[in-house]
Amino acid sequence: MHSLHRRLTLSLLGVLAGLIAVGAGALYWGIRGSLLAQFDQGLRFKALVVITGTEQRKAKLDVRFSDHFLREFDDDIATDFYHVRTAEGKNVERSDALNKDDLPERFGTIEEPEFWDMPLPAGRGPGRAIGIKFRPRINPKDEVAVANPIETTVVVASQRAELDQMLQRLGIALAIGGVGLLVATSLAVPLVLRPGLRPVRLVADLAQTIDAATLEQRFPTETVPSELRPICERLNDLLARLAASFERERRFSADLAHELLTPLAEMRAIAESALKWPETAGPEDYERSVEIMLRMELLVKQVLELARAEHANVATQFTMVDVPELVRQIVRSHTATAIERKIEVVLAGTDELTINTDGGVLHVIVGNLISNAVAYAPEASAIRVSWVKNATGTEMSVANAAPQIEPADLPQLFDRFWRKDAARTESQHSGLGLSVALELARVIGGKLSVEQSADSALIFTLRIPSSS
Amino acid sequence: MRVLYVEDSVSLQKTVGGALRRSGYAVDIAGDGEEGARLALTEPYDVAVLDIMLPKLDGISLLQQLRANGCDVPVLMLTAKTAVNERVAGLNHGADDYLGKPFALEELLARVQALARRRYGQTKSTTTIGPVTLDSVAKTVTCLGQTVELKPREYALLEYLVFRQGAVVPRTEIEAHIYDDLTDPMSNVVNSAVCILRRRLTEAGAPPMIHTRRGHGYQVSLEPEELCTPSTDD
Repeated sequence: MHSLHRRLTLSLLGVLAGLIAVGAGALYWGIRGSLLAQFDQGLRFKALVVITGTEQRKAKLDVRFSDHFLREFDDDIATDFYHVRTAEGKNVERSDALNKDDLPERFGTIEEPEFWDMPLPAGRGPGRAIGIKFRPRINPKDEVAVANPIETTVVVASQRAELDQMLQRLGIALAIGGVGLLVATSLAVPLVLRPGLRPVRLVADLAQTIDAATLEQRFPTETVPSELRPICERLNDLLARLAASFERERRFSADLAHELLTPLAEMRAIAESALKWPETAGPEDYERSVEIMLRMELLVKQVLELARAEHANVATQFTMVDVPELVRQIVRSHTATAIERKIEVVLAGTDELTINTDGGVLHVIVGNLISNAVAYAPEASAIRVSWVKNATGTEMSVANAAPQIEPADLPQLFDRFWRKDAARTESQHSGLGLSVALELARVIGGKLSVEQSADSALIFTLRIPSSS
Repeated sequence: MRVLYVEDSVSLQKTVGGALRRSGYAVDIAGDGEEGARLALTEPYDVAVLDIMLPKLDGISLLQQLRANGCDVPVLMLTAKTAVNERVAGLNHGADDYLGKPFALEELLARVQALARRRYGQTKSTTTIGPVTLDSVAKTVTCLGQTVELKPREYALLEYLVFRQGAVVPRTEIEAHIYDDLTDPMSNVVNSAVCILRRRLTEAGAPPMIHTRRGHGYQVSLEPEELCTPSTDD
């Protein structure tokens, strides 16, 4: 599985293993170097002892050093060997244990002797040797010797098994230490990572608890590490938008239920009353039932229109539409109500204006605006329906006096089921007409807006761009 | 029993108002909250039925206004809002009962009846006085096992007097609780109704129990008292 925790653990352990290897290697080479230097110091000391014991008398070399002087050279132990020769290679003196074998002829000066590794003679294992070329001590009074000093070499070899063993032990200790450190780290890393990754887990856990019912939940932004903050903030934005849209839908459902339950209550009361007191039931009950059913029918139709418009599910059919004719048709269908409420409808626009749009959709939009105006304008007032073609497209307006509407109401006018008075009215209006008009305006590529003039007249304007 | 019904749906006003009247209540109807508040604060109602969504003043605010003005009329809230918090809000603001729309007419009538009964301390649906038993659900009266035929208004009068058993009930109070605004206040309805009621009860074999307290009103009691004198009461 692709997990942050696992990836971090593996990469941390990988880096640590590398660091341990480099560290242990450096330590090993450091210790090995100083042990070797110490060993070489011992060799040099032994070589100097041999050099000190070597004296030239006349033309002869006298080595006053014997295997017995240092226990390591002794025959029975024989871990060290020496060999003194003249620079020409003539044998002068050597350890008894060498049994006439020669040690290699390599040498440096006293200041910078030569050291090298070599197998010891007679199968005595690996060793290390020092070679020095020197002039033996001379009695200043010995004129012969002073005149002809003999260049002499000494080679001392020493068994290095002990050193190797020590280095091996050091290597093993370092390896065990390194592996142990790695194991301990692999156990400690999760303990360190777990608290470190806790904010991530908390956010993940919180995300899991969020569903449609708990959209008011928010991710913490102050307490989370700065790396997670942008994620939490974006998620919070998303949740807020989601909650708002859920709330809108929930309110719509509740409003719709309310709008349908009221006429149902009316019908049920009529029917139950007629059943309980059959003698009082009459045609008036049926007339009222029909009215109620027509109201419900309109509501259901508009809900469907709205749902289709909102989901852009309206199949549009663009043709050339005669705007003045369309307006006259709509106004004619509202004549009865207009006369009843003494409302005068004024048409203002050119005699000829055709636009390429969906005639049916435009009819519903303008029809809803005019129907609203006729129903809600004060009695004995005037409604002005106007249309004009300008450079950007066509503008159609429906204006009517609306003293009851306050500026604060404007943003809510298009809300579904919004009415100035929260109570249901007996009018033939479902409270969806303007929402439907707004959505349908989008469907034909137009835009419906509302403004209020200084004398509190409400002006709805539909703008249809020429291109659409 | 006099009921105030505040409802803006004309259809419900007609249907429910008619149903309440046919069940023997005096019913006053208000079409908006302000009218409802005015009526409730001036008339002595036994039950008020309030819609929540009302023009001008919503049902909850109306209820708050009534309670703030010391009006303790039992209130039944009616609403098409189904949310629980709406119901809780209504009950918290002093409503006595709640009914969601659409409701069964019978249930509404039963709840109004229960509230009216409780107003007069009656918890049972039947009340007995001597040989006479009133069933306030079926709206029937029986005397010695026999049904006494009464019109709804006559039943309402007897029920009101029986609920106020022992107390002297002034004629104006009876008018206020049994008759609604549609009744002519100058008429002699109470006197004639009391007389008819006495005759029906006597015919059924009940002892005289509705007594006239001259200058005060009427009293229901099993104690023997002066006889009915229909033309010269109070």
